[in-house]
Amino acid sequence: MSERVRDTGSAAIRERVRAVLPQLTDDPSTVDLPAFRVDRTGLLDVMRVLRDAPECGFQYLSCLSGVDYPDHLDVVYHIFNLQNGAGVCLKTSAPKSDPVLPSATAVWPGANWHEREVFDLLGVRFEGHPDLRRILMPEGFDAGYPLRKDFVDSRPAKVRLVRSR
Amino acid sequence: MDVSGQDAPRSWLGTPPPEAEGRSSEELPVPLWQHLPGVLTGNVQSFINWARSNSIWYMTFGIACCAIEMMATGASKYDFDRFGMIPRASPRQTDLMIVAGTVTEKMAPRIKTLYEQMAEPRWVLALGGCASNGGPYHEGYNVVDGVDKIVPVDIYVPGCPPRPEALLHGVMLLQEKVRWVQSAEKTART
Ligand code: SF4
Repeated sequence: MSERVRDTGSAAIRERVRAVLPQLTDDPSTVDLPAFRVDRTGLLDVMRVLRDAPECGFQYLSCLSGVDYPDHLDVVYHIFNLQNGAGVCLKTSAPKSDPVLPSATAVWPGANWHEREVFDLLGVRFEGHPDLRRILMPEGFDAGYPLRKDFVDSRPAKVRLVRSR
Repeated sequence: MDVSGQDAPRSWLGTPPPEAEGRSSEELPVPLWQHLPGVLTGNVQSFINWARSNSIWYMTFGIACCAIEMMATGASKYDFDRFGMIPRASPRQTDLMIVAGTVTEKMAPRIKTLYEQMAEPRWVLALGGCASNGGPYHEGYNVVDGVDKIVPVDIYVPGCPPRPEALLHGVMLLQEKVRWVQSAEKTART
């Protein structure tokens, strides 16, 4: 364990990622990891480079989450290199009128359930996902996406699991 | 145990006769069994109730944070085993379902299925605020406001989470309830 380098120098990681992916813009709102923002059109290519380029080698998707902003939806990827412990945060966004993003399952298969959760609770549709179904809400739930700030539970009370006895 | 004492332990011997109400034990005729040291009389139901109340096997089943307290209660410090409570991994072998945690709408049909798989007589203990009425998630978008909306509940233990002592108290109340069952079989209440 001792010879394994724990790479937490954010500036150095940022430089290395910059060298292979100059098109990424910095995202200063995240402080614990080097954070980049990427447009959704080039997302899959950027992910592949982040995983495969020897300077990066981020083969582990640790967390995939969604954020609801007033006018758009963000999806945030936390990815790590298990050899040296380096990690970066990648952010992308989609407008609420067209919440479609390419699925990360082609790059990191572990994104499968994470994407289902973001779809379930925030309504981001991931194109190319093998099985995009609701994961936490019950089957047949059709009142919307409950983690959106403007979500109102419009179901009549008797639909909300009344006594089935 | 001392069977010749004046105050017979009630839970061993079933209900006291109606004429015993409000009268001290000296006024009552001495029951026959008090002349026979070492012999206990009672009815079969009392014996069954006694056996049942001291071997309540519960389902290994936890759905949220309250399950941690249930595990603590089952571990060595609080020691469920001394009540004859043994965790069973199959609902078909259990008498008691401890609903330890938040019942989501997705989980609710599964809980009902588990309950229906249990053999009768069966009991349900709602552990914590969530299982009692939704607790901190009352009226949440995916939360059933209490497990009593889907299965009949015998004992409610409040708290968030309840301490192991509270669960033990709930279990002792349940034992009391089991001991006072009068009919030959607890009627199905689904
Ligand atoms: S009552 Fe409190 S501790 Fe128990 S499951 Fe609910 S939130 Fe968790």
